[in-house]
Amino acid sequence: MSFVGVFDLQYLHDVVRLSAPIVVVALAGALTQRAGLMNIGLEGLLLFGAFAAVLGAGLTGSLAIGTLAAALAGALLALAFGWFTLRLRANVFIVGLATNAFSAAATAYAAWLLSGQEGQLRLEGMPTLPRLELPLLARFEPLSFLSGHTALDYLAWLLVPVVAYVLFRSRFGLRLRATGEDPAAARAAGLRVDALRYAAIAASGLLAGLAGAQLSLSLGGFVQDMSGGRGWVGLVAAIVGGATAWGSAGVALLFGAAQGAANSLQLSARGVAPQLLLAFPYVLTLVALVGYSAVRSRRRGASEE
Amino acid sequence: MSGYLECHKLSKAYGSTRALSDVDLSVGRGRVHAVVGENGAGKSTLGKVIAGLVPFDGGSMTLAGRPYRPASPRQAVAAGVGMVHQQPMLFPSLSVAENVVLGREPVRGLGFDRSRATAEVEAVAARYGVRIDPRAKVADLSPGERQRVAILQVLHSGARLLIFDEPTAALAPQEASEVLHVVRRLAAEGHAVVLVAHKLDEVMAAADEITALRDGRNVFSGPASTLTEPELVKLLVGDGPTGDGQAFGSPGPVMLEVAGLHASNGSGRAVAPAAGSNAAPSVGRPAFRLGWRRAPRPTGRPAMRGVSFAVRAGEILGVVGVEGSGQEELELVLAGLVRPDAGTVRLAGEDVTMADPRERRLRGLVVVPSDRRAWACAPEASVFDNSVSQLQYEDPLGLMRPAALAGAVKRMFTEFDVRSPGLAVPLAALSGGNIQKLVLGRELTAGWRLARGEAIGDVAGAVPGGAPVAIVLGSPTRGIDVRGMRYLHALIRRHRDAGCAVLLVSTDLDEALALSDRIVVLAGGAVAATLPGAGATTKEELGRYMLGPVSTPS
Amino acid sequence: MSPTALNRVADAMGLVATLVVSLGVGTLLVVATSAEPGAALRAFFAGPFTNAFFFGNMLQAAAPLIITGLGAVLAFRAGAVNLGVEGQVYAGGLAGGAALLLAGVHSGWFLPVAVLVGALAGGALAALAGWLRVRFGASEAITSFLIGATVIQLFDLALRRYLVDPAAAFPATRAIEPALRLARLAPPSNLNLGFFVGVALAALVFLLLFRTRFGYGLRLTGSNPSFARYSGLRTRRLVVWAMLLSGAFAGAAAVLEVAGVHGRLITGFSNDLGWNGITVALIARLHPLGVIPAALLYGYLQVGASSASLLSDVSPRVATVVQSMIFYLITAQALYVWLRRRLVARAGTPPARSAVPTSGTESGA
Repeated sequence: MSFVGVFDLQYLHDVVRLSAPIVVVALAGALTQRAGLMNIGLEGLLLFGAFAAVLGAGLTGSLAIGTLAAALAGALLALAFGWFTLRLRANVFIVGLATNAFSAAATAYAAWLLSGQEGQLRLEGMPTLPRLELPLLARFEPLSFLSGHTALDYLAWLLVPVVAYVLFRSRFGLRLRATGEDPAAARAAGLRVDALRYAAIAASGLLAGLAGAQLSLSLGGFVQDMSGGRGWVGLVAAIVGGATAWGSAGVALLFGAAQGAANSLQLSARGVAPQLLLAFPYVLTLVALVGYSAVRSRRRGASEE
Repeated sequence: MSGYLECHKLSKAYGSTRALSDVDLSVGRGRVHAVVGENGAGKSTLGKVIAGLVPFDGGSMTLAGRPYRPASPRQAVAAGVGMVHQQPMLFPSLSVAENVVLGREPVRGLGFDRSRATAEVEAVAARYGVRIDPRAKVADLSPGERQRVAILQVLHSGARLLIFDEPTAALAPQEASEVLHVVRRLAAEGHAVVLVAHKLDEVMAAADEITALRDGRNVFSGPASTLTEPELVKLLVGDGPTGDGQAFGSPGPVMLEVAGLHASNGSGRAVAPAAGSNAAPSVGRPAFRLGWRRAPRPTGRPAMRGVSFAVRAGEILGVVGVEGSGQEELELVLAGLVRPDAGTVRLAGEDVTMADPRERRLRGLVVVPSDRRAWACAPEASVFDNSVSQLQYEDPLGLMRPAALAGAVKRMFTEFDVRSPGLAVPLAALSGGNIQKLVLGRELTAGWRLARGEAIGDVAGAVPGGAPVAIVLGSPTRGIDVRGMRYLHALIRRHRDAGCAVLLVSTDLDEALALSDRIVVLAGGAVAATLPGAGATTKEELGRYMLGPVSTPS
Repeated sequence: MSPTALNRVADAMGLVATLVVSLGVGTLLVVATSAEPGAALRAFFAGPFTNAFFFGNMLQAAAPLIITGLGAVLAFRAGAVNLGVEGQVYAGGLAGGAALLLAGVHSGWFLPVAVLVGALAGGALAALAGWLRVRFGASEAITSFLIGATVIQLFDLALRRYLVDPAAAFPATRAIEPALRLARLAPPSNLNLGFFVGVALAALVFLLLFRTRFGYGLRLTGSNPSFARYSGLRTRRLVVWAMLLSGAFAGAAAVLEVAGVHGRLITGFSNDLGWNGITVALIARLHPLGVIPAALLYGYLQVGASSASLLSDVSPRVATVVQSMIFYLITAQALYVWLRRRLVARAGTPPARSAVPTSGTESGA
């Protein structure tokens, strides 16, 4: 029964909580993948959102404003990303890296300016996200792990069907998928290719910003590099999930489940180094990506090159 | 002068090349107006200008009496002008209906109304007699069916002026005549049609009026009935037809032989020279490119299923077929870029099935694939780097000595009439003809010792030691101007006469018929027939075999 | 002017514009946040040239960046996106540093051996990502990053758990013995032989890329891997080799940094050597010799910021903000294309199609 000891309701609760931000980033990644752009800057967008959320919530005392600020900041930085790739024709990889570098440098610098402290920002009177009990679920024991999460965690899961609808049932989604598949043909078909891409990029920034808000508003402050690789993990979840909303969210959930397992392991077995815990998501993501690529290349019946 | 579309003194230059000079065109409703000319005469450019894909430099256009100057395809579509491309720009992963309505999708509430889209497409298809299943995925369609989807696209946009850019170039004659039938029907329904074409018999059959272009200028404009086909040929070419007398040598022993070749679908995927990310293609291109991308390529097409034939010394064997019948795979297998699932390739009696590309060249097998941009050059790298991809092997120490290599490259350029503004400019600055001559020159001399100054020979005369035993050329003159084409045809014949075995893979039936001693027809990845060459076979006969016994899956 | 010369001028002008904007942002940040902007600005911009300490440090700060930058050049030229340079730096530092600390060799000949050990460690990581690319088709950009991120944590673990000197005030090993360290050439600055090693390596990489068949094959693979394969090159092998060399340069740079500047292993010793190396390579437009001035620019910014923080009240982080601005702007292809067009128009020559390709998605034909 030791299995149940580790993977109990608390574990499932952790999984839901840990996956939520990855799910949102994965949705963001799916949107840009569908636009034909690999957004390596998700990590930076998330971090930027996390910082903006603390600033917004800390200055106004309102969680809603903090969340809004995060979404807005993410979208704005994403639009800069879009402007550089689409208008200034910069390489999408490099702009993604530049976004990460800028976000890391700017947030750290701003945190230092505002707090005088290295690497973190905590503002007086800043609220943290409360955990909401869902009245019915909380009492139904087997599913009680679904209750007791923050509003943004719930929102994360609600966003999955929304993005699924947008991508595969809406006119915008049809046009976006066409654009991502063959931009030249899309232009010839009379689509506003750049506008569609800007929209997808802005939406992905908005989502990444929300994921950042989830992190910093739950914690009640900003810590340097608090994104902790979630941008990359989410991007890989989107790739492995085939850039569909449900697929990406599913892979994100798997990543969250593995992370939860690692966390419980650390609690139960003493002496697991924290560095290994920090390295775990990267290793897991790496394995998932390589496995996915291997299967895909075999299915296509041809080796790369 | 009261046509639906009036073009007046249109001009367009690409850099220093004038593609159009003072071209006039008048197209009335209910009429099919053919624009004809040799490759490079400017006919495609004219079509693109009208469709808003290419801005023009000088002149003017009116549409239905109003000034017309589209800045984008979008504006052209809004004005009721649509273009059907030679190779339709479709989205393989989407359905026929989705492809057709894209940009004008019916919506219900917030969502895309798929069933109404299907109904709309069915309605348009029925009205113009186009046979297609709106629910099918485009990836599963044959080239002819894709062409129909492209036509439906334009019709669904409500276009009243339709431009067809060589719509039959990649089709078998029977599929082609079906497309031409639709073209006639469109005119009968009151549309104005511009038919850009180079197959003169089709033009004579389908067009009401003809405008002939040569070197970007009008050389004829008038009713089709006032002109005979030979007269038209004379107009286009200027000084007589291209086909110069064929010197049939007596073919020697078998030099290149393939037996029972099988290749699985999609095995020839190129890693295209595009800037790209790994999974998603990137928009921006840096000065340097990062990452690889797979070349987009039609999926669901047949690959090779048991292809066998033999080419003798001093013989040109033509290979024709509807695009996607296995030609691409054949070229790549012969180049050593794709390993066949089964079968053998023998060169002068020796098995080279497993030989790598460099070894094949050293043994005298030269292959230039149809998709030159993907396989045979790096358009953005310098002319120098593109020219020394074989010469570089000659230095025993593995060094690159720029001066020695540049000397060798210049000698090769003289030999093959390659004109380049310099060696440091990017290859893309050269014309298509010069790029092709460079590629051919580079590959045909791959076994020479150019860099060491040994064995510089005249291709016309006795081909020096190290000359190819067999040459495989994929669509060697596609997109090349008349002068370049003549040069290349002469070059091919000279090699044949010097005793090379030549395999000519071409989608251009006229070219294949004019050059080949024998012709192999591929259909559905298998050899459907082997027919005698020039004079003894007609295009219709070829066409019958091109469609093959196997019907295309849909 | 010839088209090539025009391109060079346009490139130079684009670079100047990038620098003006980025340094302008830096100036604004300093002015807005400093109580004594005049002194702070003077320290920031002139600081690196005011004394031998800062000047030597500037050269030294550039040294490892030249080397990691060359590594990035090698990978990118082969069309392989190595985003794991940072992790390869840590791997090299750990392997080479551990060798210096633990091998029990006490004479200077062992230092080059340790550099080699570090190079092998960094190279192995990068080669792994390259292999995953050619074997499974997994994006080397992502795998190299993920491998690198993992290794950074492992470095920290190894340092804190196994190598740490309990007497140190912060997580660090004991000092490497003097015989195994690079001598300082201009004390008190950090300048050591590493800078000259970097310059020599830049010349070597230039020769490798443009004067050898290997380098040609590598560049051709980057330009069009299909063409390279068609020409008979073994592109898979070349990509793995390019990644291996790329990581090896990162690993070697790390050992030189450890043995020359820190004198021991400390947490976060890299200070973004890897990421900045990538940027330096891009600023240099992937030209090996251009890497030297690009790295010097980075060194200048770093030392300028640290001089401003020592002599005034500015955070050394200003440098990272300015650097990231440069990173952004340097990628803005359109800026260069636009400048080139202007120049060409003024020169009145027909536009040779530029060496910098315009986006493939823009050409409708």
